[in-house]
Amino acid sequence: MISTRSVVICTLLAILFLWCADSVVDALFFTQRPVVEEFLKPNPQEIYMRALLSVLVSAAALLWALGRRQALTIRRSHDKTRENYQSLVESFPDFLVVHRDEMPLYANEATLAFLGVADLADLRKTRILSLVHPDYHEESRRRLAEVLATGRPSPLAEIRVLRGGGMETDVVVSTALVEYEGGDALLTFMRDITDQMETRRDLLASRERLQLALDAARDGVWDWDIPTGSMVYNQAWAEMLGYALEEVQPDKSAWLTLVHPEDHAQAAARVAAHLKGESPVYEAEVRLRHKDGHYLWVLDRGKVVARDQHGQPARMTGTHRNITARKEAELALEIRNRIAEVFLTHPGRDTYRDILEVICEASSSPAGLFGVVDSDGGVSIKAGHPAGLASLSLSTDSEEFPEQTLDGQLSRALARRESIRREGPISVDSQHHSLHSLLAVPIVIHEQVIGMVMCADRATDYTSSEQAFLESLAGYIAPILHSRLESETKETQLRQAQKMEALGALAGGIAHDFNNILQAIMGFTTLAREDCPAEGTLAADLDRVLKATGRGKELVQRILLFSRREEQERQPVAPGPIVAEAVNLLRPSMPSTIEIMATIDENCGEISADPSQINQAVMNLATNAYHAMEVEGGTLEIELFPLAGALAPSSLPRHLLNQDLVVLTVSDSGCGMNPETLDRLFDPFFTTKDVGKGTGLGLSVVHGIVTAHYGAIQVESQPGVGTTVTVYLPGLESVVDEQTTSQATEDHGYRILFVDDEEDIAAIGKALLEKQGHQVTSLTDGAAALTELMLHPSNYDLVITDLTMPRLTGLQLADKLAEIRLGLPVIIITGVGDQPGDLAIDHPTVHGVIRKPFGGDDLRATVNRVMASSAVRGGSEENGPDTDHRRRS
Amino acid sequence: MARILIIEDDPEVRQLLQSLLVRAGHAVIEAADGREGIHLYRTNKPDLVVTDLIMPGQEGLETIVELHREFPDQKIIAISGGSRDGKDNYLKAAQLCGADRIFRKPFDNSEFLAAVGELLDELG
Repeated sequence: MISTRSVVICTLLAILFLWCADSVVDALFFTQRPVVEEFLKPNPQEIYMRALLSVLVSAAALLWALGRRQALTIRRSHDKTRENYQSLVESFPDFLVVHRDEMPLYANEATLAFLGVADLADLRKTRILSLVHPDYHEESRRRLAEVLATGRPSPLAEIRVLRGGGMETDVVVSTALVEYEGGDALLTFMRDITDQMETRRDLLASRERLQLALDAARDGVWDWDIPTGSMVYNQAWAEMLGYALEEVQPDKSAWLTLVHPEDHAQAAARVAAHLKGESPVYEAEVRLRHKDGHYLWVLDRGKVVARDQHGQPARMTGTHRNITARKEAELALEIRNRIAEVFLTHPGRDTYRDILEVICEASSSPAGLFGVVDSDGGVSIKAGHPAGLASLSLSTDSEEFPEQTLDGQLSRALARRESIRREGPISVDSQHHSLHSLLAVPIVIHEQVIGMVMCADRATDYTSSEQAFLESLAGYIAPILHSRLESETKETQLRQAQKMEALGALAGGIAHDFNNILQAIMGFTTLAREDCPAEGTLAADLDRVLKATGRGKELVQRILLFSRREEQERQPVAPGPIVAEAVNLLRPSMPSTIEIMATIDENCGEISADPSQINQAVMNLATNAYHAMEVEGGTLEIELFPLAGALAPSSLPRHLLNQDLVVLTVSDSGCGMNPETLDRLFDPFFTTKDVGKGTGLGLSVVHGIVTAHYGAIQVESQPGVGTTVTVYLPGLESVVDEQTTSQATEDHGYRILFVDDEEDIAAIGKALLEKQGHQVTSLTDGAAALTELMLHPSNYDLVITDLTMPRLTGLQLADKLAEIRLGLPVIIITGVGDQPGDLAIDHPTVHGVIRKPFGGDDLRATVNRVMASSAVRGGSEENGPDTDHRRRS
Repeated sequence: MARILIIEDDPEVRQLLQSLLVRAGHAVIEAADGREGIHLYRTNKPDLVVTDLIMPGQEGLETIVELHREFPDQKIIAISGGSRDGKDNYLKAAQLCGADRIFRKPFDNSEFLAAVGELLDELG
């Protein structure tokens, strides 16, 4: 019997337990609570659990006492048992009240004592709700009604009850439906939780003190309750990220939503490792998103500080230290290193593209641009991303800067030497595209803008610290870029000179053979023409051959002109009338769609020039300009003006700097040229024109003419805008100065012994060399020359000797001379196809070779070259015979 | 009719000069370089020498100098199409060395023949 009852009771207990547990869990985890109470979360739970346990114990005791709902009715039939149960209930330490219709029917002794009521009769006069604090009336009434309606016990609730003497006490209550004295009644049990509440308040106070302490620290602090997932942050943490503490969700999600996606996995893995006990502390460097969108670098450190009874981590706390400044410094250093590496290892145009890539990547920018300022103030965009940006037209001397256009803003950065940081949209000129944001910084050295870097189009705006960073980067780039641009200019000049030299030699060689061919065609055709009947197609055909041959002849002459192998017939002339005459010749040949504007300054003085060549240069330039505008028409501007030496652009070759110049510009408003075309502009036979329209020699010829006149030529072109060719020619006085200085420096007035068995050759050689300022002694016999040199070895700086001479050949003379006086240079003159002449080139005692027939230029060039290398060797003359070997190797 | 020595390495040009001069009624001796030219000169004693300047073997400038030293009154016409290394001052040098007339290739038949005629006239 007993055992059956026990089973029933235990089952009931279990049901009650489960049901209560559910309610408790509901109450704990699915109720919105103010933030402050969250601090208490782990502990309220404990309190509730303890309360629950004690309630269960109470309930168990009660049900033991009451048995089933009928238990209280046992009194009548089983007095003994009833007494036993009653005594048990009476001695139960918690409070039990049985009530019906809000009126108490029964309460145990403890309850009476707790409420300060004398006896049960007294209590039975008091409405149950009058014992409850008015704040809880509503809630209590509802709860009781619910129990009556559902027949299910109410969940645990905390209420405040009124005790005798005006005392108020917090209790937990629960109510169940029971049968009492033959009818439904409610059994409410209560427990005093004053002690727990005090503990709770103490805890709250200590937590608050802790938080105060944490807030005082600079670091952000987090406290993670692992089983519940609650994560508490301090004020400093919130402020570090730009939030108010109230805005922060007090759980792990706050961290999860703010951490940079790239950093999440690593940090999570390290946390997991630490939780498993694999690391003594958790530590990771992560980026957290600030409220305004940018990321902070944070050193995240933490440690498990509590474990449950199974040793599982229960709580982990840690700090977030803002290490953004340190990380940025590290990043800046890394970027500088990468840029230095790019400059050192990446040649050519790639350099700029790669540097731009580094900058765009560092600033997470989808768009960017790297521009370089040319020596004449134009801006060439070396790299642009996306590619469309590379076609922007920028300038350093703009005066208007449209606010919302990219070129306007970049031009301002360049012209005013200031950084630009803007929010978008900024429209990209001539493209249906706009940028979200813009950060552009000029690259400045010696107060001169030499370039610009830009990053743009990022969804989030650039910050002032990013601007400062890009500025420091630009400052770092400046000197490297400066030296690179300088060497690039020199390299370009050198390359151009070498190219022209090589092509000139090639063209000259072709010209010789070609002239022979033309000679034969022309001569024989003329003969045939004379022999054939005057009337008829044969004569007409032969005339066409002759006409074509004439064109071939002109072509060869033009080739020779650009290769400037011919002696110049220069004379002092005023350039104005020459240019004016060329313009007059041009006018009739130009269609009406092209307007010619000529501005000729008559104060240009004189230049030393071949008038027909200057005329040809103007005509060629104008013809090219015309071809560029042929389709759409436009304006051809020709200007001629003097330029004071001090104003000469620094990009000119050195010999033109700081001297008075005459400047000719020919501009068109035509189709312009891309950089690739510009690069090859002066190459002979390079043409963009249709077959038959040009030979590709026009500009080569201009280049040859200008160079032969000691001038310089520069071309500026923008696709779709037009082209300006600028020719700089030295003014006459400058030319005289230039020539005399060049002779003074190049031709030192050497003492030369000229030896040739042909008297006339010896005489010509002497005459030519004396004209160049040397002192020349000529002899017609190799042996006599050797005698003279043995007698007066110190009277000569240089020996020039024919190779083939009857008694003593040139090579023998050179060998003998090497024996008596080391270092006296010897130049050998050889005939064309002379086999020994080729040997002479490699002969140890020969320093230079001149081929017959030679002219003044050959003599000058070889003498200067030999004497220049001899001067170098002269410093180490005491080194003896080795010097010659060293020179040759 | 005059006896004319042609020194020219290019066979087509040599043939052209030969045709022109023969048609004009002259006797022509041909050489392919200066050495051969000097040799033929000594054996044939021509009235007029026409020489190219740039030739393998012995070139024209030296040939002119050599002829002039030995035969100072010899009439010489120098012709040239420019040199293979691009220098183009040799016709002037030839003039300095004693050439009476110079022609840059390609030249007109008639101008050349006119010069030949003038030089032969000077000889009387």
